[in-house]
Amino acid sequence: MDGQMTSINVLDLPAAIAAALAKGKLSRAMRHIMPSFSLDTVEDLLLYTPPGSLDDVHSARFKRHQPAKGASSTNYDRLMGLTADQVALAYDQAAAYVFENRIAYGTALDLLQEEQWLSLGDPILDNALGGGGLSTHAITEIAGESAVGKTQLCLQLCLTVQLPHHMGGLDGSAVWLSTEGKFPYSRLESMISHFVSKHKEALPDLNADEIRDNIYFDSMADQETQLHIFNYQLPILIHDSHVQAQEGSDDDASQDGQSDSGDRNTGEDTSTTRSRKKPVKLIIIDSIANNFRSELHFSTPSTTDPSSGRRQGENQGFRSSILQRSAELCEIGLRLRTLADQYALTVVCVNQVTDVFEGEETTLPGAETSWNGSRTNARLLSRPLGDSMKLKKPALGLVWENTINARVVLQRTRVPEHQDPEAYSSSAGVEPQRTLSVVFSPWAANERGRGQGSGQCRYRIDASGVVGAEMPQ
Amino acid sequence: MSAPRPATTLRLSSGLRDKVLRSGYGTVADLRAVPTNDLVSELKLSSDQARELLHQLHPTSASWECFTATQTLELEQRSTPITTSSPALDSLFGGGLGVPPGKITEICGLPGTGKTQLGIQLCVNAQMPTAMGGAGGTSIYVDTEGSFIAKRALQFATACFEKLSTANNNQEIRAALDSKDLMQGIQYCRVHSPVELIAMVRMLDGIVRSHPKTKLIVVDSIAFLFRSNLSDINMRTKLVATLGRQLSDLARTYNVAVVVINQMTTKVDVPKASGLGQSQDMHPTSLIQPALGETWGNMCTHRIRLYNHGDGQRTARLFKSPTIQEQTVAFQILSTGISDAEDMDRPPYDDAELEFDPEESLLLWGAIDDDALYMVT
Repeated sequence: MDGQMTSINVLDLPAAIAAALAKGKLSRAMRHIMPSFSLDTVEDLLLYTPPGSLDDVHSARFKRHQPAKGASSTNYDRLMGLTADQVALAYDQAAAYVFENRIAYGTALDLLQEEQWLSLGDPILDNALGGGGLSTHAITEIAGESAVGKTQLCLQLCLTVQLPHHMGGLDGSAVWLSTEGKFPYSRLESMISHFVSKHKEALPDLNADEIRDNIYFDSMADQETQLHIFNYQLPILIHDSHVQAQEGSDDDASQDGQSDSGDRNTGEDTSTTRSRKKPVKLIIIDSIANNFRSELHFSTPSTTDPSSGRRQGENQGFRSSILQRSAELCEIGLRLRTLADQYALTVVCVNQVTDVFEGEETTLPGAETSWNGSRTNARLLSRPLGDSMKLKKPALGLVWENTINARVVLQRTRVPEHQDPEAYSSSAGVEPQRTLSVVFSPWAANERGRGQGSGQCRYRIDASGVVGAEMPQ
Repeated sequence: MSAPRPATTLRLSSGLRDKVLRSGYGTVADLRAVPTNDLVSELKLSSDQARELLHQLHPTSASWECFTATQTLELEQRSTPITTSSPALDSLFGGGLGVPPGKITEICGLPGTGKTQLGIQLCVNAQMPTAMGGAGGTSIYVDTEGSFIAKRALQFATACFEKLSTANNNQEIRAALDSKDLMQGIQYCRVHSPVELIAMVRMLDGIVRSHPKTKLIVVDSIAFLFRSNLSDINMRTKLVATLGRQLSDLARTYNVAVVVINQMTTKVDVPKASGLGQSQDMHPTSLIQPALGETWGNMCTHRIRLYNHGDGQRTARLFKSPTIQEQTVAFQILSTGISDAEDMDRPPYDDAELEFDPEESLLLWGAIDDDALYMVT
């Protein structure tokens, strides 16, 4: 459930109420059913004692502890020896505590000053995304077929995130979590060298070692590893990097003070301090669907979800594994979003695409078939560009779609010879046409066909990375 | 005088109910006729039970606030709806002026249909000065998703400000409005867990009381946090019911408009295995519908679903309203905000088309998705 648990000791409750909540005056029979009952955390109070009239307190049942039939009429006040008013007092204090200590509250103007944007490293691409690039505090999905340039774009983000704020970066480092094997080191090397030479004038200090030091990589071979990384390792890494960066900047300040007084360090020392670790500002997950898709059929039903899997049968097992997948997807999504908000991160999830089948046979829930693609539905990659008449849609379905904040789709099409020989022979050549489109995003107005900021642009991939090009009119 | 109220209709906890029913008192009037002390000794009530029974038998007059229909009507006429900036969208709400105060309005739709944008627009519009026919208030935005983008709100506010100052030469109004002020009139909070959302909604009462100009509360979205953290469907239903009741209390008590944004989910119906002779063609079917089920749906006065048909064509479909029948209107979202679709003469999808559009039915029935968390069986 909720990760964070705070004891009710933080509340300013009368001692008698606090004691009653923490212990629970259970009769012997009740103790037999729920040996460890207590409402001794702020979270439990808020979840299990909804406010309201006496009636509501009486109807509150213990769902968490799954009491046996005989206990179903138990209610809090009788169980705890507290009156409804006393329970309500505790509830209100818990709400006030959570509000004051955990919830960020301000005006939209404050928020405006905090908002930061991560440039894609190219003005045309940024413009297609609404001007600034990707928003922090949010999850952006980049979906597309294989070899369309998803990884290239992500590598580019790993570089631009290290730029200072005035150049569109976040002055931070990147974490690359891969479910698809190796990190593309060689490609990164060539992009780094182009990146360094491109920014030589503005940033003479930029060096390849520092850039490499600020990209963390880990692979998530299976779902279990993935959950472990998301639940434990990633939050710790991010937290530590932010703390270190804070301390580092303090150290820098004090060292500057010292060097002013005349005692200069040797050359070696300065070179080690120069390669400083920046706080994590970008998380890239390449790709989110991989583990979920490969392990779908193998997950056993009844281990984590006791309510399912009772009824036997293939369908039931599949269905419960779908249930489990949904729950895990939601949990990962929520965790990433919370991290993104806490540390002002940009989270980028690479997603695969699946074919959209024609026809309407009802299939098992969760199968990746979907509605007829011939519909001009903005959620599909439906606009058939060139020869790509096979319709695609991003994987993982509606649950995941509800979890992300924005979706960007990359598409590649070859211009078929017979249809457009001129384009084929002249400017386009054999180079495929590539299009970036914003399917949805809360920050980019989608005004297709209205010129600037249209949520769509062409792009090409060269040695330096992904380069935008205007949409042909 | 109607038939006497039977004692079984009292809302009592089960132990107490047993005692009352076994005692032989048939009606509420019978129970009331007996002096309290006698009742307690006769039924062998504990002090808690006595208090509970008394509370049910003699509801104090203070807790019973009663309005006549006339008073309610007057209140409704006095209060100002909040415009969506699109007259077509506004027409979906009874008066035709926008989102009504004192009620819960739900906006649902698939991702990318403009739910959050509509929420932001309403926050800006809630501050339109009263001289312009606006509500002249402030708004509170409770964000569970992180989709509230202040830059976008600023764009909307700037566009709104420009529209106002060109349309109106009144210096006072000009002086009173500034896009910065408009931004300051939006209270924003970000919550990350069900516990935080519950606490936040509980605190809203105090916040609204200390900001008496509050005219609008937006919750974006109510469903998101309940998807991952709570696998227990009973508990979720209960928490959502609590939130819904608190929000509707807020709406009524302070006469603010409450707009709740909801996600869509896939409801999967697996035909029940009917023992023997189960036919082979009993495939599960699925339906895309607003999350959180019927309990929540009943709490909303208006429910509107947004659609995005691609190429900037968007429609909104009213599917629950106390006053007007279901209908669909077209609107658009530009960088300046929400407005009527340009080609209003020909709404891209009218009602009949939506109802019988084979593609639409495919979208509804053929779409298989994997959100089984919301499965209602």
